[in-house]
Amino acid sequence: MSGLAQAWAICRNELALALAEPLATILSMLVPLNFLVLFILFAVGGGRVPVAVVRSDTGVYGQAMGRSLNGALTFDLHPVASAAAGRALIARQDAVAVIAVPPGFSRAVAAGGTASLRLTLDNLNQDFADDVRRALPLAILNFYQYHQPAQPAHLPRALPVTWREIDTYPRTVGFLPYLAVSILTVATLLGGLLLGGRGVAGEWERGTIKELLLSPTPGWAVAAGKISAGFLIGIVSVLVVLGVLLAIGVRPDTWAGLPGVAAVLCVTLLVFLSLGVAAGSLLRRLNAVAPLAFGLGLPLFFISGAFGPIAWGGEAAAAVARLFPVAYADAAFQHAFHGYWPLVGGAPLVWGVLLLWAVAAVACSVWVYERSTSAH
Amino acid sequence: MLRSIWAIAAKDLAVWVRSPAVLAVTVLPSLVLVLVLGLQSVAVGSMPVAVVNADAHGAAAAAMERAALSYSGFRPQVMTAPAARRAMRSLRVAAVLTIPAGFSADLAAGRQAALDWRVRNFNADTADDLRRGLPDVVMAFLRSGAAGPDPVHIGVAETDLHPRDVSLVAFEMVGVLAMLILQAGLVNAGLAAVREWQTGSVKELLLSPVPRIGVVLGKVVAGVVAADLVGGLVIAVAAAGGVIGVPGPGGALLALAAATLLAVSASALGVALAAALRVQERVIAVSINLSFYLFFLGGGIVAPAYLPAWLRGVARVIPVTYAVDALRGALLYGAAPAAGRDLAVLGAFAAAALAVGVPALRRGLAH
Repeated sequence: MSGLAQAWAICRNELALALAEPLATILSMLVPLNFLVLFILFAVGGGRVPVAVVRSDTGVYGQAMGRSLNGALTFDLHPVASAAAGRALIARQDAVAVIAVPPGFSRAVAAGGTASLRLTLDNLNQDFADDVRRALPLAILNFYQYHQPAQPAHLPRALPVTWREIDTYPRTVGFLPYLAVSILTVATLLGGLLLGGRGVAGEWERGTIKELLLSPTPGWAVAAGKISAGFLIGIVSVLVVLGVLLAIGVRPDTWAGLPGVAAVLCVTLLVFLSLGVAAGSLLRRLNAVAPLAFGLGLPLFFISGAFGPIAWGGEAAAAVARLFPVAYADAAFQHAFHGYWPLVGGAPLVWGVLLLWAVAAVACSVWVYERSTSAH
Repeated sequence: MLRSIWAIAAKDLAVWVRSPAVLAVTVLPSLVLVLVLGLQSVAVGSMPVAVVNADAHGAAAAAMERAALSYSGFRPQVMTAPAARRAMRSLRVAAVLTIPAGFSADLAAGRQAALDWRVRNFNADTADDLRRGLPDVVMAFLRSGAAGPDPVHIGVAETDLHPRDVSLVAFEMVGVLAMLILQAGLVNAGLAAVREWQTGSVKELLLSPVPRIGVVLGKVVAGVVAADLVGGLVIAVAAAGGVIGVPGPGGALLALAAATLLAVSASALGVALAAALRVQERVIAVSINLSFYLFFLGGGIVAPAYLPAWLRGVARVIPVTYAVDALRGALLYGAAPAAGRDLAVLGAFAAAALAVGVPALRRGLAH
């Protein structure tokens, strides 16, 4: 029997085992879907700040300030009749702040006097509170620049300082589509490690490793069989995740990007399956492979571009992220979907690193398996 | 009866302490989450921004530069224009603020001066953070008087509901604490129950003179003790590390009550899951997933107010929401105005969970 035929036999055996005990397969599908749901919650929750607004002043400037608050890129405004009603919303956890445009606001502005917005803030933490505090200057400057219905003579015709924003990309990708694309990285990362690890660890747990080691099957054929089976199962789970992404409207900018997505999926899955096989050979228990996959894989994923380019998260984290394939996989997925590279170097670097990792990981899986054969 | 309950609880706790794998399953997901949240708070906290002052000798430009450098929402770095372009190209900065040549002269002559604001708009969240940031800088500049009399006559009178802002890490740490208690209760009580079937020791338990209710309560007590121990350890480490303050006696008591009631709910739910699933891997998988969802929906990451209305409705019917509220009040804010409501709801959840968990395991033991 040739090595290829032996690899095929091992692959078929793995597939049969996966059908008989589908837990790891289901887990590899469920975990990325869980992350997708949690990311959606995170994106939905972090999008806008729920704020009760009291418009006690119905004059032109009070109304203009209401429009300015609406245009401050921050607030999800809930109009209420009074500050007490706003505080009731905070107590019910339906809002985190009350902004009141007080009576006499328009009169004060028209007369050139000082007017104050009243902010009652549930300062749950500094980050959330600063989101509200930092948005108010934008609202106030917006009020002066764009929303004044009639410029009184005592106010400046325009503010002395303005700014011209120049965006790098013609379109700003939404937070959810950006986060959701990263889910494909999690799907290949965890799916690959769990499925690859289970393939070899299962042999040790069932006690069948003895027969496998005593058989004349070469190490590369064993690794190839395990990786192939993991690939077939993993690609199904990744396609489920991809299908969910497409169903919720996260799709490549152009359908021409789809072959790119498929290519990244295949190479990335190969990398993590191979590393999973190596981990399974070393650890010999699925109960040890799973914590390793979660314990190392998830933090690595989060410093590898889940929220934005890796360099923005700090130099130390970026230096670590650059060593591993996760950042490159994520960059390739972002490029395939959104058309930009969140890593310097673009396609040559990303594909070069991913292909190098693929070769190294496959070689590592064979080497670790063969080493366990001879030394242990 | 009480002695039997404690004997069973002590045995389950001894097994828990001696099982590294179970200990890892209990604490690892939460530790990973702590690490992830820490990394995330760095990533979303402040972004690197290049500040280019092309009006090197202008006093107003210098004031604008100072305003940009002192803004806490950015990690600003002064650069030359070519260096800023390179930093932007190599993604080392998220934006470049350029104070153009003639900025100060324009202002002195009464002309409007315009800043250049180049934004790397990768996604709406980071881009909007940058877009919100620059007006803050401009406002600070206008208030400084460097552009003449302050033209902005609208201020903000702020009243905070808490005496000080706690850090994002501390805020999320308390959410993770709730998840850890939940997970410790669910996993430990669930595994302690399912182990009886997997090792075959269920037969000895059934043949012993201990009433079945005693067996079930023993497993719940073990789950609660494990959860409280893990929770107490996290609070001690967080307080020692300065992440949270040391709670006073009232705060500590409230935290203990909330944690214990949550642990009772989780442990009772754990034994019910064990009776239903009967396989260790399934109990672990379901427990971890369940605790993650309850953690997110119960305000672990963002306060329920930030969720859409229908999810806020879901948050109101899960115990974690009330536990997180009580724990944050006790450990972070020094006051928990809704503590009575929180403890009452948690008590009701604990009673309901016991009402489901106890008969489920009794039935399971009987079959």
